[in-house]
Amino acid sequence: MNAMKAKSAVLIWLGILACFLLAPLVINETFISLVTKGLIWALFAMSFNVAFGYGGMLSFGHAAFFGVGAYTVAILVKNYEVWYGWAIIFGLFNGGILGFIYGVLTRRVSGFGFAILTLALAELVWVIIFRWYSLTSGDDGIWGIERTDIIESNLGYYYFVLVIVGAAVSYILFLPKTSFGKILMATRDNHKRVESLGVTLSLIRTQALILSATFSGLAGGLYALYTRGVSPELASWITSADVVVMTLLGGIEAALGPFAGAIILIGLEDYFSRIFDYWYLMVGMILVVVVLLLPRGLLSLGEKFNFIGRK
Amino acid sequence: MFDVVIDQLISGVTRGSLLFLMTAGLALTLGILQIPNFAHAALCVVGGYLSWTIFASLHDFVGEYAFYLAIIIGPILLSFIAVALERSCLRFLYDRRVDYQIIFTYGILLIIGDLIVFFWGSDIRTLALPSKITGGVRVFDHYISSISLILTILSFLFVFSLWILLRKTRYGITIWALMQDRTMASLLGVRVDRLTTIIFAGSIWLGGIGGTLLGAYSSLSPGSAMSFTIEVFIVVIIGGIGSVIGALIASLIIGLSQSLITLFYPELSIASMYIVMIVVLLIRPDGLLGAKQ
Repeated sequence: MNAMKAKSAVLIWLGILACFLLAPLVINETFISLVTKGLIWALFAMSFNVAFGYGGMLSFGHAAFFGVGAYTVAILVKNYEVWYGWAIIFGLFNGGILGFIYGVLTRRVSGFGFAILTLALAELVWVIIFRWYSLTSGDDGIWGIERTDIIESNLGYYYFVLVIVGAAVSYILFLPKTSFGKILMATRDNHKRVESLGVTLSLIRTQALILSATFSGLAGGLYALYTRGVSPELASWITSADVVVMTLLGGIEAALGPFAGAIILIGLEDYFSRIFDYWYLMVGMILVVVVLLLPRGLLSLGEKFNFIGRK
Repeated sequence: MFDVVIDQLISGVTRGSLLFLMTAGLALTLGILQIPNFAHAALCVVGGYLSWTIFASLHDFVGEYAFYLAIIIGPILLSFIAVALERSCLRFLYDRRVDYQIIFTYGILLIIGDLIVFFWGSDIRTLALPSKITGGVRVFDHYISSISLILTILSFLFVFSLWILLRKTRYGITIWALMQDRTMASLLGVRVDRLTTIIFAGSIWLGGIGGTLLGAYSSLSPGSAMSFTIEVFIVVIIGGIGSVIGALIASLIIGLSQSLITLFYPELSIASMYIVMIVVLLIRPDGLLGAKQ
């Protein structure tokens, strides 16, 4: 039964990827650009969920990883004319290094203290980005990043993003099957027991943060190339909050919950921010309703039909 | 140079006292009800705006007394909002995971942030002090404005009365019981639901006074809701969860460190409170006066 479930989950994920692969045949250019944005945020939400959903660590500071990844790509491509592929790899590494710093500094706190400490660390990163004018151009941001060769067109960039996001999300989906993923989820459910089995809790948590931060940095790098520019808002608390909302909207227990949540929220934002001035009022309402009435996210609605694999 | 440092110390203590008035209520909700209310500072700012509305609409009729009416009525109106919020939503969250409590109150914060812009616009609002209490005193060539004195005296007064209330009265004992064990307290005849509502409304009332004085000391703007949200939480964390005196010490530390760093390294002034918090948490993970968890 379990094997069948796992098999069907893989099939569903492959089916979703196939839909994305064929999507450009039926939708127009502007919509492709929106879907690209959705995919990048979906990767960000999935990597956030490695910390929150798998590891039980509610971080309010994931924007820092995203921002550092984005700024690394922007600075390298714009100011040093590095090939975008290398820039993305550097961005991903920088995100991971920052994740390591987070892990070391937060190793003694959990729950509420963890949320506040990560928020403070992210604000610190934001201040650095904001004030280091010679490197980051401060408030102005860095704009006019050139996309060259295969990723020059929107369609080319769409497929570039799809391949990277597809691979990264597949890895994150596969994580609960690995021994590391199993230990991580065990630390979430009963950390005392895991510790008494001889596992160093802070080590596992730091590893999870590094992993989560690395993928967040990757998403940030892709986003910098998508918008062809970066501004300090990418690293601000709004970004951290957006990713929490996406993850919760989709549901943290369904394996693909954050992915769906990100796509839905990006779609809603694109639609509503055109006709309505108070977008964050709506986000707040969504949060309140989801927490009170649908604590396990939108995908829990479809649980009966089991159309999305559970982890 | 020495004179400048003294002036900065005075402004640091003032800022710290203001911060404490906005934080004290959060220290209570977090310590007694164990609800990390992310919307606390935003509610304080709403209290400030309510007082401003009362101030602006009554100023033509009663002149300078409008300020006194505003600081009395505004926070009370705010505490009615708090009662509604607690009765309608928050009470369903007490037995949920802390993550969901944080996220829920965060949603409230976002809603409030946009509602402030909707009702009061994005202009800066200030409350003018009555002429009797403008001005200030001069101590050894240093000018201390009266609003600084009011803020400092009020915050020490609140610490003292909260200490009396929580440690020396029957209500305090009941509140301790509620904090230790809700079920047991309710079995012993404490009306837990009502007491919870009262504590929540009271702490928001306290914050409303802080918000009103924020409008008198500096100014109210939609952005202050968010900037204070982070600040008040940092204060509570540094002071230790559940400790009102810890919150006062932490507020003063944050206020002083901000004004002193502004003097020497202006570009670090935004970062100072984060640095203080990270250092404190590395040395004492439960805060300065927090109980070991």
